[in-house]
Amino acid sequence: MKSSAEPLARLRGPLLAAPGFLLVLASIVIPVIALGLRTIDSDALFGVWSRPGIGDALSFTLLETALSTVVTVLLGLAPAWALSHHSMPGHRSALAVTTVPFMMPTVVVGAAFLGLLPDSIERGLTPVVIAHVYVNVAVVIRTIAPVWATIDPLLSAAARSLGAGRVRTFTTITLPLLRPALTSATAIVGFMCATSYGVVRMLGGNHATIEVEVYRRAILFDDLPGAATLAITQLIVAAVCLFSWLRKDRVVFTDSSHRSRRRDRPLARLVTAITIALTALPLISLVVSSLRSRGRWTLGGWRLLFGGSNMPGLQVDLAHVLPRSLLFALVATAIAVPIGVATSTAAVMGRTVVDRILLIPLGASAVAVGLGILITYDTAPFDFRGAWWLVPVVHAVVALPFVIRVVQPVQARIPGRLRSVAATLGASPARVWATIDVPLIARAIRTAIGLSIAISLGEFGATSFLSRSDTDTLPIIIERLLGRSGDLARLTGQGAAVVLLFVTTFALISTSRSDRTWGSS
Amino acid sequence: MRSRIAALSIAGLSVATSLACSGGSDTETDGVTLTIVAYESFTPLEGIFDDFTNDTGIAVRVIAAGDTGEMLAKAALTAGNPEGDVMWGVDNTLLGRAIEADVFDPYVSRVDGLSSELVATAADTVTPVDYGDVCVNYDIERLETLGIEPPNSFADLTEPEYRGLLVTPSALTSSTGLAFLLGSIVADPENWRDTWRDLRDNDLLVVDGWYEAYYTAFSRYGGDRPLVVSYASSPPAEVLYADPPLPEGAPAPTAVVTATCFRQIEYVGVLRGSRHVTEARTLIDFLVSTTFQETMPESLFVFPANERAALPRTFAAHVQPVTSPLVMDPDTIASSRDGWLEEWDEIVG
Repeated sequence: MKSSAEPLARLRGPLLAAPGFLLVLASIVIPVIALGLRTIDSDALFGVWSRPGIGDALSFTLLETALSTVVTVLLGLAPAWALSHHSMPGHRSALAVTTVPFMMPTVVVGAAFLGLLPDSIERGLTPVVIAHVYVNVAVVIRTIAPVWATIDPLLSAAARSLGAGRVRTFTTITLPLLRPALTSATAIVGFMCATSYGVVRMLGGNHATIEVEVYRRAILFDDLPGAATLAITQLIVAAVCLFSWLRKDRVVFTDSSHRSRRRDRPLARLVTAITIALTALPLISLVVSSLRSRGRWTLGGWRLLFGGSNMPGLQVDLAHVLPRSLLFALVATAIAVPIGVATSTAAVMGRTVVDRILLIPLGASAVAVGLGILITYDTAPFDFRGAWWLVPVVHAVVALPFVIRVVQPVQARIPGRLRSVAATLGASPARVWATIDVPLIARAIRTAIGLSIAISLGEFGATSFLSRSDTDTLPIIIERLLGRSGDLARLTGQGAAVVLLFVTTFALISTSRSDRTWGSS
Repeated sequence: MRSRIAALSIAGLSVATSLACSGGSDTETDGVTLTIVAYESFTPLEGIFDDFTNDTGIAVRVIAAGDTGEMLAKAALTAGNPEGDVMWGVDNTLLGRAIEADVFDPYVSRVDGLSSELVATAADTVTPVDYGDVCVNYDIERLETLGIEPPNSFADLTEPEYRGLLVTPSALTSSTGLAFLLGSIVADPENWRDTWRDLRDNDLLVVDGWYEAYYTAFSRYGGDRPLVVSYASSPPAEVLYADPPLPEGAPAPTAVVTATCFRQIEYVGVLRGSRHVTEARTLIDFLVSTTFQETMPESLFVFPANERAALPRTFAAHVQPVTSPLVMDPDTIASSRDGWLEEWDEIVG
């Protein structure tokens, strides 16, 4: 693959890995550490753990994470099996639809979801787990389905003909082959649930996660030292978990369906239909709700959104907000995807751990990062406070882990001999990359672009906390409208949420279309 | 290929920086640009600063983020090296903390008409800019259907008649919920803990934020609770934003229990470390002038601190006058807030 005699070649991996590494270092690690250095004293370091609420937050975080993760993975296996074992028209759209809840801001999904829960459900563990399953099941489907589709059905058939039952065939043949993907899905879902913020605030009753507790300490109780201690601990735990759980050959978030189509099974069809129905129900109720007021159908909210009428306090300049949201999404994607691909290439070339380091944003507390950025970049010429480009850059950092998990497993599966042959024939490393890697990862890159656009469009937590000037994105507008009383405020806010829903779905579907070029390997 | 990626990243960065620079420079050539630091929902009327800029040559930009608590946490962290020149919107529940953190360079505007009553709460540090009341709102139609009279006090809410009817945002996570708690303390400083125990036993529903309370639990929006902790400005908003529109002259569909109204006062102040203190003071004078103040009710749903500012018609018609709101001095709030919150959490949590 590379000649170690050449010094430049030895530098290639680190050079490719550098942009991603520096981005995460500059935007996450340094700010959080800076906040810690500025605020933490020995009192906070040891004292915060005994403060009221922390014990409960720790145990609730562990409990809801364990439950949410187990239930999500178990329930996700059924649609993963269905989507990998039959071909149905609109199959990829189905995959895109199940991913939408993962991308939408909590205020949108959580509220739509809340409306469908029976009133009798007490806020607490149960609704939190249900919401986590709803939001994260896409991770399981997208991680496991593509691997399941590659398992040769002859293997199972052979086991069956040798007398193994269905259960035994599953546990001895299928499960071991799925294990890497299962571990990977479990890790990512676990991360999302452990650092859950909006869902827990909205549905958790008086329970909190550590992420929520960081917010409470920092904002409500004026206890920055305590908040910073918790945030840094969370970051360290996240880093340790990443290194011990994830291997770089594991598959996350790839498009399925690139393998041979299996025969149609009614059961698979049924499971897919149920999954889509359950996913779409809250989203459809949102669309309906944006069109109904006081028992009648209305276009009042939509008219305000598209400038057909005017109302003080509810000015929504969709003609500016939507292009701006899209521009941010494109800038974020233009940063996240090249850096993600470079990192992935570096990881495939050498035994670097940088691809795992870049997953750290998943475990970082948004409040701590926001406050840290504020005090890290506050002196000219590095006074970036209030700069518009902070928004897409932060979106890129949030999207980066997913870009890497999409591209890197695919790239890792490219047989090394393909590159060796090309190199032997005289191709330069850049040419090898362009002629061997790029065509084979083109689909993965397209999926990564879709995810990255969708993540940026729906990002709320970090965007909201950044001080911005004239850079309102769609989720910010939605939150603001839904903070006012009155029918039109609600209708306009929900209308804006529906716009976000459609744009996100479109971004996901249009980038998941197969061009069927993947055939070898 | 590495070089191509590097080139792409560099190109991206330089585009970003050139855009960022051009954003700042074209305004700076005309004179001073002042930055207002505000909370997320600060949505002044579009173009409202144009006349100010024409008259004074001072340009204005607004940077916004999060809610008031988040804004203040950031201001406290950057005290002395602030993000902007003027801060909009710290309220009486947080002013004490802001002063403690030494966020402001003292300035109280002397503009004609500014309510002296409100100025008296400002600790000679900031200028009151608007106020609003947090009160129990009720769904008139639903109460009529149930055959229940609207409540008249905190004590009423603990009666069996109102069992399971009230929803409030949490005092721990919502400024609205906190204001409601403070109101109950002002109303009965000795026995507020008992009031809250009784409220809890009377099946009070506590939710995370105002949104969940108003749009999911309140009966007017499909929930089953006809009483909700919201604002005195909510009933006029229900009229202004009604869809379908209400008939001309129809009463608001909701009303407030005035005895539960806690007054939230918002302030503007010069951020310590601003390099444009004189201009910042001029801007604060503009913010409390009638020109700006008269636009606030409909763009921000708050009431003017300047007594000479006229209220828009819809507002004047549908706002119930709150003649004796519950008020609490910012110093008291600052010194007791955390303790009260812990006690409240013990009782309700």
